[in-house]
Amino acid sequence: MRSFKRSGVLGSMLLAAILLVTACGGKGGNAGSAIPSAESSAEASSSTPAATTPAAKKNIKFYGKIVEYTSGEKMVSELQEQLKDKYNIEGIQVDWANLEKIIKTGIASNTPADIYQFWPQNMKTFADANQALDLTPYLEADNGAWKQTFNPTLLELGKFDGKYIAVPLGSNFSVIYVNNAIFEKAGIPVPTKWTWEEFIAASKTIKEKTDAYPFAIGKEKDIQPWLARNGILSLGKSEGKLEDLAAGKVPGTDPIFSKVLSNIKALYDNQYWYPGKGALTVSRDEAKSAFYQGKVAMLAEVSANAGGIIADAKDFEVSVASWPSMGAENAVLGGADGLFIPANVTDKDAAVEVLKTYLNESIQKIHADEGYAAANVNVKVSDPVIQRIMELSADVQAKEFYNFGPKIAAFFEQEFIPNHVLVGQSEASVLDKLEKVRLDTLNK
Amino acid sequence: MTALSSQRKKMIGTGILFMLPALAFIAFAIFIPTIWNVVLSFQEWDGFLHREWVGFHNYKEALLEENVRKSLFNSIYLAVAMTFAALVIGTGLAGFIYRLGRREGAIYRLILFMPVMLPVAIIGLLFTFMYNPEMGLINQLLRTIGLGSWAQAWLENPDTVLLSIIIVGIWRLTGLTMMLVFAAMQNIPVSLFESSKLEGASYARQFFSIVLPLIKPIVQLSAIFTLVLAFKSYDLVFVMTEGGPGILSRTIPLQMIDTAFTYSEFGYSAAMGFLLTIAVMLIILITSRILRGTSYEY
Amino acid sequence: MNIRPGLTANLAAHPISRTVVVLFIVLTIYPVLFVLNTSFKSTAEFFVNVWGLPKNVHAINYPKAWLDAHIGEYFLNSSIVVGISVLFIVIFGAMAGYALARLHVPFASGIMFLILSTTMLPSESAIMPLYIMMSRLHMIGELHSLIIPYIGWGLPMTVFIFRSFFRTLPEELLEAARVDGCNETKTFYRITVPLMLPAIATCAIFNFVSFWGELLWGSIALSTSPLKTIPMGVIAFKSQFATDWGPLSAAICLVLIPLVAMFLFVQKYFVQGLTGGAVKG
Repeated sequence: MRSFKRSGVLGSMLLAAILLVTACGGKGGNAGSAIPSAESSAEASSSTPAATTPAAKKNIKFYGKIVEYTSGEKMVSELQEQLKDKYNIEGIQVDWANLEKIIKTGIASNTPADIYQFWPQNMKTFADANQALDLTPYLEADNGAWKQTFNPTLLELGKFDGKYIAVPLGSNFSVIYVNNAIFEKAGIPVPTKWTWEEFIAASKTIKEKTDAYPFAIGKEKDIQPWLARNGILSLGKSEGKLEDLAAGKVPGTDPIFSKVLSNIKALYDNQYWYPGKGALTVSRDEAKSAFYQGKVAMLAEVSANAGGIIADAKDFEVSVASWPSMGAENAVLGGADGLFIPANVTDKDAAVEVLKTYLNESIQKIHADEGYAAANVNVKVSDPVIQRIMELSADVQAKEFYNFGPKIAAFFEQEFIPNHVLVGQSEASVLDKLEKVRLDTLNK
Repeated sequence: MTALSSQRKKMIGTGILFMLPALAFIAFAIFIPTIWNVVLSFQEWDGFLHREWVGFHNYKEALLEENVRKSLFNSIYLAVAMTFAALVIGTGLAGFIYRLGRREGAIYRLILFMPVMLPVAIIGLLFTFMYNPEMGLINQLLRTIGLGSWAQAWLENPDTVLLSIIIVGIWRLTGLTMMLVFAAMQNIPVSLFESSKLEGASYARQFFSIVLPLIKPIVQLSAIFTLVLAFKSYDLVFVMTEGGPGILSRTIPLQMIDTAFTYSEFGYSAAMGFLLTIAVMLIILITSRILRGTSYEY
Repeated sequence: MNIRPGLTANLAAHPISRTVVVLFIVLTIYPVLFVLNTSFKSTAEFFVNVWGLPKNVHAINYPKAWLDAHIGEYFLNSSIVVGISVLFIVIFGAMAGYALARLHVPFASGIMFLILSTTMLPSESAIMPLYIMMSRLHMIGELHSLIIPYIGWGLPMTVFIFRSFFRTLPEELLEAARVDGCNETKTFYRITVPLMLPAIATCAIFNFVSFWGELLWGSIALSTSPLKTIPMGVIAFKSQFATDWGPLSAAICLVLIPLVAMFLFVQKYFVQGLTGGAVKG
């Protein structure tokens, strides 16, 4: 009867559709070797490593292709070229917005990629859950041969509980971009290294002599906390408390925090911070936009964006200045792009070999030649602006209080500044809460 | 007698058969993950190896933590406000568009529906710049018409931040309610309009006395549909304020993602999700009671 | 059955109606114009000139968007995934909605509420279990790893919508058909469905739009696969610390075209389903 025919038709359509879709598995976009079907790729990455034929190449999923770097594609192609006899390397573009979710679901389902891009300084959650492969034995092998290829400051970023679990690709840290024209108009020399007091004095002059806002910084949680973090680092360094801070041993009621908080409040209250009211919720794009429009004299941004910012600021010249230090000595938060290997990869040695090759001198030279501050010490950079930035990286401090625990980081991102500056909570109560969070993390 | 009951049995049989495919997919894609989450909410799991049972600990902690309570409140406030406004405006718009010609109506419906089609990323860009205190369109407009004193930092001021998000939510959801109500109005026989017009009823009168009662089930549907969507809006809030300033505009989905993927506390995150689910269920029950109408047969 | 397709109630359009609608149109369309406007600026120009018309029309954003976001390549994948998903969501949803509305399934309201309540959990919490399940079934990385969840996710609301619409269907109509000798399935296909064209059209649009732009599950399920759908192409313009808004806007405009086309195509199904006279009284 008709009705059964119809159901039958529907059923077979469903079946046909699913078959069609499986067969269509080849359409795709990424460079790299094609994966013929779901079955073999799943087996390759989740079954035991023994290859069925001696000459079979291993499949490696390299989740670390950074497309916005002009060197990104080239480095991956070169990697595939250098290892083409041994490995089928699939270079996968990093999805920054969903990176953490992608890594965690990959690891949780026991089918991780072989290498993941992730920032060494942010590896704490992976460290605590033992999700990253300990690279120390590989680094120290042959008298530390591999270890010595890395910039030591940057390499330290990936050290947790005495173990290296991530290696750096290139450095990145906070700097201040300066609008030379506005500084000239205000009659202030463009700084290179300066203290917080000098910074505030300059801001005051700019506000009086020009109609520009002195300073702008985005609200995003990976940038606004810089104000607090760099302040803590600098004061901590001056007082010799860096180790204790990183270990969470300095109580929230320490005068360091109180000084940082009041400095930031002054910045906001004096309207040095674009655009005055609303400074706490201005997005990174808005800050950048205001800077390009000449409405802001100083923009806080990452060093890696130097090339782009200098090129895009068409109406004026841009210089790079160090972060103003709240203490007598300067220390800035820093980080690197980096890579790690999940603890549950199928073939650890293969993954390490691929990782080592990617970070070797010939491939990293491509990175440096394109104007990036590579972490490989054997590679030299020719661009003077980049060289200047790399000099500033000497102040980068690997370990911070901010990274002591995720709740501490969250506190600095969400509550430290707004609770005091916006909601009007007293310094004492904000610091009390900080202390509470610190103790919670300590006692976990 | 036997003929009727066997026919009724056939009906029920076909009914169950008709439901099977849908139930199968729903079970796989939603039901099983939900059960998984229920179980998880009574455990502590770091996403890898460490898993242990903790009973109601997660729920207790969630209700005690201030951030979670605030997020819950925000979620409810935002969702209810957005839905109510979108429902009223959408229904009204559907009523107005119903009277327009086919071509014209289609174009207008398209334009009103476009906000639903735009990806959240660009909506975020647009509205953050629009709300910018210094160069934003809204403040610039206010200053030009002389209401400069009303210009403020919409996304920073604790009094206005939630409202600012709600407006964007309304802008987005109205297209949906409008389409649903419009579709429902298509099922109203034209003869009803014609006969009441002969009796001298204006369109407004027709709308309120004829249309609304007849489409009440669909209005109820739209309310629930929009509510559920509004409760789940992680993207929109994230892209506008990231939950800021501070925790003022945090919602539960945002809190959940952070808890799970940043702090690696998957059990705790699942518990939060359930608290929200319970809240949503309650609100939906309340809404369906309020909007309950007998389905008129015509 | 008296169904005259193409007849929407053409009550004379009152000037007030028109004015109100036009007002809302203006408010609603501005953001769309904004995206269009931005798509013709280079990102650098956008930052300096946020609101105005482009000073240098940067039409190269469009070919750049097409290539860098792999729109051409991913278009087929998106079409397959969304097309198949929507097809089955509508078919299975209509069937289930009908069953719950008019086929006297026991505990119909309870089942409906249960189905509905499953949607209330934020979708982010479904990601982890779904991923683990699907990777054990070796489905991750293929297009059906998207289709099956999409169908599952689109169904509850669709079932709910259909059920609500079906409940407005007069019982007498169905009785008449049964008396005439139609079995249930026939009744469904030959009577109910044609009267439900607006509802079908609405569900098709809603599901199409929500899955065409679905990003979260897609990017996780296909993260290590060479297959991608269109929303993932967009990540080409999001770098770690900045977004390339010019080409991104162009990409968005390109991707909107099929949505707009689909919407307009489906409008012709918004027809008056019932006329007086089909049922007496």
